[in-house]
Amino acid sequence: MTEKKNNNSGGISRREFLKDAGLLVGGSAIGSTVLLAACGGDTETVTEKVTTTVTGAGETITKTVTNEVTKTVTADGTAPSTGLKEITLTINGHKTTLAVDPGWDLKHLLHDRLGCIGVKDMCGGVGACGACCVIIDGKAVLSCMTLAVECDGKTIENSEGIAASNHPIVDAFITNNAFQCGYCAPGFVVSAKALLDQNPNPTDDEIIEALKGNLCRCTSYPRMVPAVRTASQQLGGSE
Amino acid sequence: MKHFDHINAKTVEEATSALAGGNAVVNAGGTDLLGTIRTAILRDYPEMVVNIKTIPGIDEIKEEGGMLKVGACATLEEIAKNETIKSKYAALAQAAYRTASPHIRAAGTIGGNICQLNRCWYFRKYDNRFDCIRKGGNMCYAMAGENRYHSIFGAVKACVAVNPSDTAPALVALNATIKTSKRDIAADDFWDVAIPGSTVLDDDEIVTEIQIPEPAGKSAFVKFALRATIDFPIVNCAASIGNGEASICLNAVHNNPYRATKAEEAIAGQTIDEASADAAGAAGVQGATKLAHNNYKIQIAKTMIKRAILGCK
Amino acid sequence: MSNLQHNINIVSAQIPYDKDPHAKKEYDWVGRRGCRLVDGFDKASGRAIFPRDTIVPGMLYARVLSCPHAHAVIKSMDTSEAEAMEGVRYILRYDDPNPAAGFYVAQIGYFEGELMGVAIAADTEDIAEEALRKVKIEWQVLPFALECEDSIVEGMPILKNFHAIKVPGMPADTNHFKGTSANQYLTDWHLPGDVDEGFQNSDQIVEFTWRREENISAVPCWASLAVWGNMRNNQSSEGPVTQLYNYRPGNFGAGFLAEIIPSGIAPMLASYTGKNVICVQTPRAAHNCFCADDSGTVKCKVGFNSDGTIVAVQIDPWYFNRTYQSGIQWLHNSTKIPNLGINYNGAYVNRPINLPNRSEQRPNTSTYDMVIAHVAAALEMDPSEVARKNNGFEGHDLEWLAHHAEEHGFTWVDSQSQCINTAKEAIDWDANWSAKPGAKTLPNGNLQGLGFSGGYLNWHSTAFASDVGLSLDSSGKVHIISKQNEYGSNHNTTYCHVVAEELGCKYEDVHLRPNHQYDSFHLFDQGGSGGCAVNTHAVAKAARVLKPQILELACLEHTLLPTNDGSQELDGVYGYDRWPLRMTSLFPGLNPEDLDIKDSMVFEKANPDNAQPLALVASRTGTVSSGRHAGIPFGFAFQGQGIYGDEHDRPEMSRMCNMSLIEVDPETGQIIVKKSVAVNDVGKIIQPESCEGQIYGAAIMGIGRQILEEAIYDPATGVKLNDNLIEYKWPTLDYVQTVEAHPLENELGYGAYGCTGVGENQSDCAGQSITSALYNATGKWVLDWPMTPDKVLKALGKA
Repeated sequence: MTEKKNNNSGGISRREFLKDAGLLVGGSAIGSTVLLAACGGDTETVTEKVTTTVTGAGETITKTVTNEVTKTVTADGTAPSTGLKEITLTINGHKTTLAVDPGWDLKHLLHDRLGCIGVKDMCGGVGACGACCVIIDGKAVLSCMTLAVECDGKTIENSEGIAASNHPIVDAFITNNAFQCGYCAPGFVVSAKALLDQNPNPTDDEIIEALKGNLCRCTSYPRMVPAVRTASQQLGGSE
Repeated sequence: MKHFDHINAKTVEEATSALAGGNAVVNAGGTDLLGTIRTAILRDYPEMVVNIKTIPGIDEIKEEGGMLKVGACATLEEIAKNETIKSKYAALAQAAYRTASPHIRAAGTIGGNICQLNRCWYFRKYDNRFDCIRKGGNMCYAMAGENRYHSIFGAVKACVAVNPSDTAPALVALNATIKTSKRDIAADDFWDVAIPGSTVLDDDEIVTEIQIPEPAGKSAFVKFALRATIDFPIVNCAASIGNGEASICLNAVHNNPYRATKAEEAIAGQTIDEASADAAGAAGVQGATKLAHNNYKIQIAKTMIKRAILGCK
Repeated sequence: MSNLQHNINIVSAQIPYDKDPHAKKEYDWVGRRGCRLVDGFDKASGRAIFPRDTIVPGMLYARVLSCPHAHAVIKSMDTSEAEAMEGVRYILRYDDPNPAAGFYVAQIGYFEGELMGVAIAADTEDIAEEALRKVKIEWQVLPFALECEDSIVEGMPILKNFHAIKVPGMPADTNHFKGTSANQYLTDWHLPGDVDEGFQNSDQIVEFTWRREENISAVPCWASLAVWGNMRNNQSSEGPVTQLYNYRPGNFGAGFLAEIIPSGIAPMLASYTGKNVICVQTPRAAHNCFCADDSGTVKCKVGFNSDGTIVAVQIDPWYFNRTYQSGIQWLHNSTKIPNLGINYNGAYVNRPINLPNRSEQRPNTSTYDMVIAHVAAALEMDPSEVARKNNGFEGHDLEWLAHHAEEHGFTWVDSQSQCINTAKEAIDWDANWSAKPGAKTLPNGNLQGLGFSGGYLNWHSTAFASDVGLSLDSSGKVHIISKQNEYGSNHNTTYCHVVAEELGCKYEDVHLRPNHQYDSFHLFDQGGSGGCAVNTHAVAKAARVLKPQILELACLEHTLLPTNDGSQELDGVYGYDRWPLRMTSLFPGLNPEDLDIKDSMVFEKANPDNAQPLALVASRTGTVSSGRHAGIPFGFAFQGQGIYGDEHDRPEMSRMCNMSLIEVDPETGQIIVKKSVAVNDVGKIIQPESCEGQIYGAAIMGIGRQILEEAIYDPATGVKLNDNLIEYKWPTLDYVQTVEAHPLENELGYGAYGCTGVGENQSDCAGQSITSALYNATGKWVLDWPMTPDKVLKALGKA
């Protein structure tokens, strides 16, 4: 079989995309390592400095990573197809402008392009599991069912942002042992945080209601309601 | 997903003219559309996606002149939580509340919910594995295949897939009118399994608003599914009863929402109690015909009619 | 003797038959509540890296074709259109010159959704997926069989893909296998008695048949990942990935499963492209490629006496593909039934491989529970009484078991009675039980029923082995060094408890240092039940090797380094009072044997006030610029646990049970699980929260499999119709209204401190408790599982 050496990255210009490569997400700088990784590429090599803030530990590690960078030309040497749209959105408190393909769903943008790995994929994008949910303008919705291009001007928060802001729901999930393998946990944290934002003192039924769209294969369900209750108490919501 | 063009429509006209351009699809909440694109279940990949959420006012909910007006892009969550709808148009609020999961309801719209494609697993199998009659193919695979969730009231155009909407039967039972960019359509006439769609809408036509006259009596919605959340209905039913009249609609039992006229006749003017509701349920499923694997749905449909009626007590 | 032979002998020498002599009366850290999960923050914040989350610079994404047919062979393939796509880097075809390609991307597909044919590496997942859609294939569709009876007819091709391994003695020209399950149980063991004679001597006989539709053990986060140039399996790849990119592979998924995933694809693509390649198993593929054990049909005949004593059981199973367990083992291992028989049959069918994932004992539990339930129903007895009456081991009664226990250092307890009593109290059995089925109609019109299931608690005697290193770093932290795989049981935290206990350090001072180098130690990777049993032993042993070294370090009088001419001591020069060259004992005049450690303080046993922090002791390790040196304390241990399953003379003494209270809606056939009580005699609780989590989590999973979960196929094409999480239904948050986990601690297990495994047991038995409860509620058996509303309504005569 033929090995291919073309240099295009799925119709997106890397440089165009990287115009805001220092974007901070969830307290972790989404350095261009991640962006580059997502885009592939193999012709020229540059050295880039990537800053990572480790949330929770409170320390900043700065490391330098050598990355490969692709020139943005298609196989026949023409400019890549345009069709990218520029959007401005606020991710975990950081406002940024990005060029996105309309075909990208928000999960793809956050997870694969920006390295927000708290946005998990459990059901393969059929809207059945809640693992990829994020808070958009105050509502917990599925990022796999949201087009990135339609998020222009919106405010987005995911589990990493919630953790970075020291919201008590994260600690409550840990101290209540409300997960086992942990793959679904970020989705539950997001759903619960959205609930507490709107209703700091929810009843058990309201908690169940808010978490009902999230699936957990380890079935840690029995401890999730108490976890949200704990967080609610810490927020001072409970009398 | 692969590239497609995209516009944020600012007006209804902008949306419809973009749709008239061919191979374009409407996006409202996205909760059905993106799944169908990602799993490549349809023959064609859209060249353009038209976002209609950006049309000003299209998500409004208001009551005017004895009538509820719900914009096409009002979300199911807003409808489920709206106090006016909960008190006067209960069937709609309950139907919206029972749809899918909280995340889907927060994004999914009423317009999208009534226009969604069916959930037949042959139709939905990845990569258009079964190019069935609803996609322009020449056979229904479910008819002789695995049809436990399929129609108990026969086939339309040889297809036994069912309409999966929870809000659709509520709109039928509440005698709603669906306003589109072109016309007003009575809810009773809105669904038609044209190939490959689910509704009578033209390719360049979008739903803009739903209008519901204030019902004379009470209304209710019930749903049966394997799980209380996430699932589409196995059978659901909405009823609106008052002034000696009854309007009852089942869904997930037929290609289109199914008006249970015999149940309506049986319960209209009667005192609602266990016995009368039970009798109406039995009447409502007269004429039901089972496929190889869905006989049980007749019993469940009967029960859903009964419970919807009891909900109007 | 060869080294290999030597190692094997070590393994057999390790098999424990006695209670762990290191079990104590009181524990500091084992069983302590409130210890924070070591990886809790990573998991809850979403920063824990699962395979799907792996991102390394320049990485390519690989996708593999899903076979669209139940059984088909590729006649020809045209990949030119895919090759022309931008961003496509390599297309690995079934006919690649490398013979390995034909194994990983085979020319023939044996079930719909099987990964085969062609794999494509591209710049993004979307491109890889799109390119796959552009591959044109001419298929020769072959006859397929989803049921055993259709697979063994004439004209059906022989299914001999890589997972359809022929068992010894199985003719090559048939899909029919008979005689033995995968673990060789039936060939190695002889079942007791003579069933025909047994049936003749029975007061009554019941016969019944159950069938379980295929369940899917999908776990959403597996992947194979390869680094360029590394042609080994994915676990080996973790090493360089970890080292190069500071990647934390603690959540890699289960190692042994990687053999089944086409794990060679990423390494091959990596070597061809010279780039890092990740081949993620998509959620859809996870759904398609594995099914849980024991799907198929089992005929059962039971002879019993009117007091509930079972005399003889014969089962005739026909399983899809080969099961891990036979179906008869639990009756053998945990009852005194004198006559047992099995005629083990099955056939390879065009369904996924049986993956014994949290279901491996289910052939056995199904038999055990259905036998007990049917005898109880026939006699209108409490099923837990029937279980109690027949409790034993390999035909022996409880007295024999008690004798064995005492002989091997255990304190005998009738574990089953305790489990049953605990469960009965928790579910208020006496108030809710009616021996006559169908007797309780509630005011809401629903029928109420109580169910029982049970058996023994196993997984403390798996075939697996572990080795592990433990080191004390110079800051006083203890590191568990091993390859790690996260399997969803918080095992990392569990092992920290054990080390803290054995060393006497604080739990917070123990860390896991996943080390994925080729030559690293290897804790048995699941960290589930089998892992719990074997790994806890290994970790505890290593700690016992490490501890004396720490105490020795505390007492160490350092030999001074000679000067260049060897004539002069350097003591006191260069301001070395801060960094003294002369290392004196922290406990002058004392020997290591005089010391102990508690709460990370090293102290004199005779005078506990004479204590020094572990961190100070630790600071004496290593080489520093001043020239002093003390060796880094390091403990290594190995543990081998036994033959897979259980051995003769090593009886199972721990028991479990499940009792569930359900309501049945007679108008819709819906089963509502009001309460499920899961009691496991786990021997010894090490990490209480995780232990409970495993128990209730397994119970809900077992219940889901019994009521909701099944693979649904198109009969005409053999295509799986519900390979997604909308139509394949996992239990949701509100599905089981109340579930209670009750771990008991009778220390009757062969694991460390007398512990047993915990996770799979309830997932194997809780479901049958619902079947038993449904009978109790309605007087009808629904033995076609899962018990969906259509089947319940049919049993009730309403559909």
